[in-house]
Amino acid sequence: MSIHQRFFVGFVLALAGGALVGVIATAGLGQAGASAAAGVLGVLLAAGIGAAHYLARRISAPLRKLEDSMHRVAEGDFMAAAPPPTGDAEIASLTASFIQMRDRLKDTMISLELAVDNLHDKQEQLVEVEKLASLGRVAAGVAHEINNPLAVINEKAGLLQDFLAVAGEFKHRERFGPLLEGITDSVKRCRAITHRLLGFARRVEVTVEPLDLNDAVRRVREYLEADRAEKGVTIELRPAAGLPTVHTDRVEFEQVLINIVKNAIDALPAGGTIVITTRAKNQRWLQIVVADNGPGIPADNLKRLFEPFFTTKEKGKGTGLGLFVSHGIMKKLGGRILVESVVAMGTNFTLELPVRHVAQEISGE
Amino acid sequence: MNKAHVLIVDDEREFATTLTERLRLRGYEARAAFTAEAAIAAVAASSPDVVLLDLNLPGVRGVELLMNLRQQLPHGEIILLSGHLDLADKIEGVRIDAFGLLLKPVEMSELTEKIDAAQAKRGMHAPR
Repeated sequence: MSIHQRFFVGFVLALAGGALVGVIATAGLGQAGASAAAGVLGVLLAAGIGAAHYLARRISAPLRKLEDSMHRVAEGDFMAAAPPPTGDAEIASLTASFIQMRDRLKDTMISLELAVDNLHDKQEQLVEVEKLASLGRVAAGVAHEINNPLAVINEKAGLLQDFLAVAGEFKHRERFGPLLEGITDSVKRCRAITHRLLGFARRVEVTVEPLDLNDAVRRVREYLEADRAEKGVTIELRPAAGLPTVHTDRVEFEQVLINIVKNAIDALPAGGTIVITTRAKNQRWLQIVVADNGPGIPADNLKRLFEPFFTTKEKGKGTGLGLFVSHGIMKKLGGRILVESVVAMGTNFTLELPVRHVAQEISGE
Repeated sequence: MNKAHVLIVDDEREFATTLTERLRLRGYEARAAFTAEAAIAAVAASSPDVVLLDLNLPGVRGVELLMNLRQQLPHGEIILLSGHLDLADKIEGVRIDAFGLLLKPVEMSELTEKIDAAQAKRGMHAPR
């Protein structure tokens, strides 16, 4: 039953009751009296219908408007306006409740959307990390397989060298030494690669010790002094004062830093500059930024930068493992490594470390 | 100090035999065993001072072989050689009281240093 119907029924019943009373009361009034009574009844009827209609509308109209607004909110329009006040307390109360609910819903939707975006980001990151981790596992497996035949080559070439040392004169004797050295040198290069790959994949406890980031940067610059000087590149340090001591694996972290700075030195032409800045990003995170004004990295390469064996150096120079391993180490240390680059302007690598070490275990294996 | 008597246990025959020859050239007594059974037999027959053991011997778990070797060679030194090195290997190394753990391919000088050091340690415990 609608409000209108209720009002009409109510009115009709009231009118019928009144009419009955009227009939009884006017019984005996005679013809004129009855006509007058009928007339009054007619007026009352008309007025009553009008009143019922008006009263019903005062309730049903705002309710319908409220219903419209609710529909719009249900469709996702959180800007749907509430119906204007009517002066009726109950309607006003209902409208206020609607407004509160609408606004709460809006806030919830915004939070949800943010959370979903966040989740998508994290998921992408996870996929990337998983990819790198499984690449790491494959790389380690391959490295292991290769080490065995490598050991055979090593021993046999070594044995030939042993024999050569005590052999007498024979034709082409002078060629043997260098040739065998060529073989053992190549074995050493392979070994460096496999050991590096295995070093990355192994699940080794991180040795946590306090580290002064500025000291680390100074040490790394000293370590690369010869490379720097040979290339003719400048390294400028901008250490922040009052940095909190970070607790992490010093050797592993410095290995990453060395890798990044060495890459910069290699990429720069003579006269180039590298600026290494340390700073506290916030209470929990410290940053080291290695910025160079070199050729920069094109977008296509930037995407693949941390892939194993990805390198833009010429054959034989560099394994393409540096950034892959560095990325893995930073993750293991609870931090991360970021890169930005503009072609013809330069490249920034940012290493982030948590102030307090969070134990990270490489998953799987 | 006499040069150690070395037993090389590795299923990579080419590796084991060549290494054996190279060690002999350097004055060590050396022999090779390619299986766990052969290793156990060799230990029983000749009591080596130092055993170079590849943990990844197929068939038997390197650890079981090791326990067996330990029993027969209470004073022998065991050096683990492996194609890969992960935490599990390191734990095994400690558990079986291995003298060291080397990753293949290994430099001859590094290896002989390790063997000599192991031999020296033996000399301090139990004279032959």
